[in-house]
Amino acid sequence: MNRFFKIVLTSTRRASTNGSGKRKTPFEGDKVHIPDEPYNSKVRFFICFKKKLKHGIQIDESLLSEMPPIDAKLISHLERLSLVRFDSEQAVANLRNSIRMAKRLELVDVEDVEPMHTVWESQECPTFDDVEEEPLPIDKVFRNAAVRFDDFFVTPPGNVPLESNERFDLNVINKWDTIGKPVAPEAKTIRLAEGRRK
Amino acid sequence: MQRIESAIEKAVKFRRHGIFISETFDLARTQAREAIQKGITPFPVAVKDCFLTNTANTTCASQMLENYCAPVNATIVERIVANGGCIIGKTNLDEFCMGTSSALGHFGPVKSAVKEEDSPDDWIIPGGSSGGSAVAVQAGIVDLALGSDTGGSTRNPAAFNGIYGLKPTYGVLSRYGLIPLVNSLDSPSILATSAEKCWKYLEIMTSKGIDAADSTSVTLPEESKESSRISSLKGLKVGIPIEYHNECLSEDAWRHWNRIVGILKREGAIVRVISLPTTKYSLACYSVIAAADVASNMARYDSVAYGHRSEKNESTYEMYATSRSESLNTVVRRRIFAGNYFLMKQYRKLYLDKALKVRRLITDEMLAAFNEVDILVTPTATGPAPKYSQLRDTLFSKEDDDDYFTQAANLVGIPAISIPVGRSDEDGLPIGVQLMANRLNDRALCDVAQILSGII
Repeated sequence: MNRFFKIVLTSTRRASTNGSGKRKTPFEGDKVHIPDEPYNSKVRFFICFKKKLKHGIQIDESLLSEMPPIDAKLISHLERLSLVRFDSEQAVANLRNSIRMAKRLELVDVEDVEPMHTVWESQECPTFDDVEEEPLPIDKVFRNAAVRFDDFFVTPPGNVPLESNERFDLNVINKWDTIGKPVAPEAKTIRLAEGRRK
Repeated sequence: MQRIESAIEKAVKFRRHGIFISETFDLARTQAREAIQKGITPFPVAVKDCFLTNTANTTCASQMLENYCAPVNATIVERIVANGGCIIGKTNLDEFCMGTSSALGHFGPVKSAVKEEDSPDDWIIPGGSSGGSAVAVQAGIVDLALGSDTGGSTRNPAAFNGIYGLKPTYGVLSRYGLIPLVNSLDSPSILATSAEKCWKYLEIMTSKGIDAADSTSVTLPEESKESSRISSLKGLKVGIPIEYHNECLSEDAWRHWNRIVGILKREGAIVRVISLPTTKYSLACYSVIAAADVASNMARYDSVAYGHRSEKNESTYEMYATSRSESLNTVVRRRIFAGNYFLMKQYRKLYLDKALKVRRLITDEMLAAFNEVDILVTPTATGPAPKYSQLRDTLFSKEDDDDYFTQAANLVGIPAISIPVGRSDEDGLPIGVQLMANRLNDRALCDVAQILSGII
């Protein structure tokens, strides 16, 4: 309930500054040509709004499956899959928010609908003729590699699993909406790239 | 030649706006001389730094690619240069095209030039992710800027800067040499000062037909170019989807949208209010599909053959993970994690497959609407450009609010253009309106945009 309340508050605050969420009035001399009452696109807000006014609930939040708690196993599994590390509780909480957004899709009926992978579905995919191409000169192949040994790329020793320590407070992550202290990313200083390779 | 020199002069004058990541002035001069020798009039062009160029570095505004120089040019770069385009520089963007603020890249933010800046620590957001390209056109540095558009990355900055941004039908412009974000949504796009110019540059870049190097590229049929031309708004069927007046739309954006619809009516267009009910799930659908593709597209950055390489050298995985964690910004890392989650064995069906099915519903709904109407008219964004401080204070959540209006065109693959229609009441900042048409009706779309721009 707390979260719902917060969302209602946010949109009220917005409404007071730029007119969003409110009925609109045209420029002087203009007629109303398009719907002047806003439509609620945010499933979550929509539900709580309806509940609050005790109107018929069109989309029932209880239909959404429960948010699975995030545990240390999932964090370490995702770090190994992604080959990137979470840098804070907030980063894991962000993942939680992305999942929550995706959960809205549970409310759409897609029975008998085929997935759409691409725009031109009936287009035949052309294939290249099997003709040898001019290979890149060796120096161009290597010019972007940080480490080179003769004509080989170099990597450190393999077959060592990525270490992924438990280092986050899972309670903070799973209750981020109420106790999290989000920090916004900061812009860097404007500069040109050095472009040392020509 | 004079136009090229004046472009270079302006680029230097606007340096504090962070428009370019690499300046390629000598290259532009060489290209201008070559054009003149061939009897072609040279014109200045800016290229978003996610298109490969074999002379200047291509960084995607990331530390990961800070020193990366590609062995080839993107197809559309080749084609524009062959027709007189002179590349003034590679433009700044949101890191790997993820965002609509152009604020958090490795080479600093892009700052809008629509108004005098009042403080060095705060600025008007130029939109994104093609923010540098949009400001390069708005400031008069170049005639054409190449952008890319995966969820609105060209139309959004066009609206915020008071210029024109055309995302053509998917596949019309070759993606060869565009660093991929979401393969089935990515459209190379055009930023210019009129709808007519947008079309002219689109024609130049498609005149040699499809690109064999991009298996998803399609031809804009010759007959559709002429037969679909529109010379008057009389009888034009215009659709207004009610879902585009959502709870985030500002009074400013609504008033201008309403005024434009009034003008269309006055000119004899038949306006119908329609409903596209799946629109409210569109952003969720887009975010899942985008994250999944981002996770696999970003997997190529392993720092071995190219890319930022960490000093950490204990094991291969350690080196991969540390290099990537050091050099990719929080926005990029966030999408990689989300994408890998949606791709996990136990969640793939639940999220990715579901999103791909919702994508079909959205597509069917929109294509059905084009049986009834010729053009859809909507806002391009919730309102005028915010300030950096406003975005930071809301943890950049407003970026999603603006995506709501633009990403559906990418899911469906239809052409869409943002045109400038006026200024906000309080700050006098530009406001845009978006026009969308059926697939391959790019010519008709530009015609309507051009006629409309002439009478507002």
